[in-house]
Amino acid sequence: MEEKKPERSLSHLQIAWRNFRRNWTALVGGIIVLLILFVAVLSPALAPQDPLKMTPKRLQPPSTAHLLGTDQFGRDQLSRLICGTKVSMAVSFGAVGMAVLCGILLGLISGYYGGKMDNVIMRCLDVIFAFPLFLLALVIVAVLGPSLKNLILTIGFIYAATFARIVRGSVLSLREKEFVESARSMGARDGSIIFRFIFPNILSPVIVQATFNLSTAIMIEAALSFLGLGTQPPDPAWGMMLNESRSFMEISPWMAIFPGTAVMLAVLGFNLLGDGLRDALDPRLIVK
Amino acid sequence: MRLLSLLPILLGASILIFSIVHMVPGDVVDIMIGDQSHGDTTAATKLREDLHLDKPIYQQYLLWLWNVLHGDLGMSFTTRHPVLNEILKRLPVNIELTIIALIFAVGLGIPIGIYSAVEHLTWKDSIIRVFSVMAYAIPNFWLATLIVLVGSLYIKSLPVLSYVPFSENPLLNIKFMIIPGVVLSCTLLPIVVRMTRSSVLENLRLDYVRTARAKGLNGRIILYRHVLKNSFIPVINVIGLQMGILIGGLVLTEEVFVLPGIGRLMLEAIQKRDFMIITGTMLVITVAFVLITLLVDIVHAYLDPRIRY
Repeated sequence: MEEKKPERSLSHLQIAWRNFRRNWTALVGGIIVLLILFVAVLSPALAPQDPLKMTPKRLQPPSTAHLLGTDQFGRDQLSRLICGTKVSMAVSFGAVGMAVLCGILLGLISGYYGGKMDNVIMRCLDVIFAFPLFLLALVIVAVLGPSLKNLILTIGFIYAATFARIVRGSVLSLREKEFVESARSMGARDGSIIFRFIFPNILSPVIVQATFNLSTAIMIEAALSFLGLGTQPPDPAWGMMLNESRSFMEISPWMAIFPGTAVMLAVLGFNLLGDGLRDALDPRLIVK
Repeated sequence: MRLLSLLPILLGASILIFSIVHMVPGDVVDIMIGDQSHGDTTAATKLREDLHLDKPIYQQYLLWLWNVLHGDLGMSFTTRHPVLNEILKRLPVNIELTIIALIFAVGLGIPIGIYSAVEHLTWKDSIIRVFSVMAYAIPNFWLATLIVLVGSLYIKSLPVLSYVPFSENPLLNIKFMIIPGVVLSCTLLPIVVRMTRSSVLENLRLDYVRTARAKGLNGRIILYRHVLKNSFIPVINVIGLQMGILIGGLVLTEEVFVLPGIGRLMLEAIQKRDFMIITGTMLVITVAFVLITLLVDIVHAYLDPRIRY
């Protein structure tokens, strides 16, 4: 018994952090994500020039004055890329945040109370999953009208279904666990069982899924704004910059390279982080 | 049973598609006609009648569903052709692209995944893993754009941005379709590689492999005769789950490579606010997606005797 003492003194979070720290790909992902968030939050201060200011220096190649060159209106590409980070992060965090809240609520109701309510909620989710999700997002945004708010609402609505399903699955298995049963037999009310016993245990799968969904939300946002259904000009967005670059590709190919690289890095960062978190938070994979 | 369970899902999907058009802020007819009416209200009245907008909403839905079940997806507002004809005309492009993408993703992904599993923990395995993580993060519309860029700048003979129907010239058609197909497959390829790798690795650790080894069977025979068959089950499952991504990718691939498929029909309809085509294409794609998922489930059940529907 005594030998196990130090092991016991570590909390679940400490074990997770230790597992995470030892995983170098997860650390790389974490650093990329932190960098991107840093750029997104400080974008007005970091942008060397006004991203909307047009100058006569059009389609310039990268130079010391404009590190990533200029676009067809002479706007500084680096500044636009930096401000695009803010848009990309706003959409992905806004949408995933909304999805997590709605999904947890729906999943808890559905999984904990079961019955007719569960049946209705699950059948509605089945319908959403019958669609290729990107196309559903495409059509809803197109019909509602492209704007930042509608992008967040649409992606959030679709992802809420994913979270509801995950939360419901976890709740269903937790509901039957001994510790929940003992809490119930001691007279704990539903509200207290849900928030004190079930909620902390569904957080791990939700956090991992949220990280992966952030990466796909970035991809969907970029794809929709590539199709002209995201933020509207002149505001910069990665996908839109890529789309604009298509008309000038032969004269200034660098216009197509940087925004795409930004999307790729962001998606890569969140994916690596998600992989790392999944391994670190999985209690079965405790690395001694 | 499995087939019956699809009915409520398809019904629900049709309600969702129908209601999306009714989510349009403002009046659908005004938006569809736009500035073309010049104060003339006859067109608007005619359209209102065609769409049964004077009736209660549930009657509108039932009428629309009745027509859809009879193969009538309505008339395109901009081209004045039946929507179904427009879709059928473009469907071959999508089917061909999907098949090419699947052939590449499966034909390359599974052998690479197996190789990576066999070479587990060597530098070759690491390279494959790094590449598949990177490839998964590349947006396929960006890859497509870069290939078009390379084609226009450096390799003038690269067959992109053209299209010839298969019925006119099969060889030329495949020549033009192969690059878009490969680009499309890049969304699926890394997933197939990763899944095959982890599935083979998992199977290699199981007791039956140890038993086979103990019997003195040669490693190759164990791999090809026992492990692979069992490893395919989750791979097929994941391909089914990812078909949605592939279909979503079709829209973007068609857009960049200017191919006349359903995806571009949909995008054009979105630009022109042609709601009949939007609902029609959405419905056809969703039904196709649901059927593909069903097909994958059937194959899955066939391969895995533990699963019965």
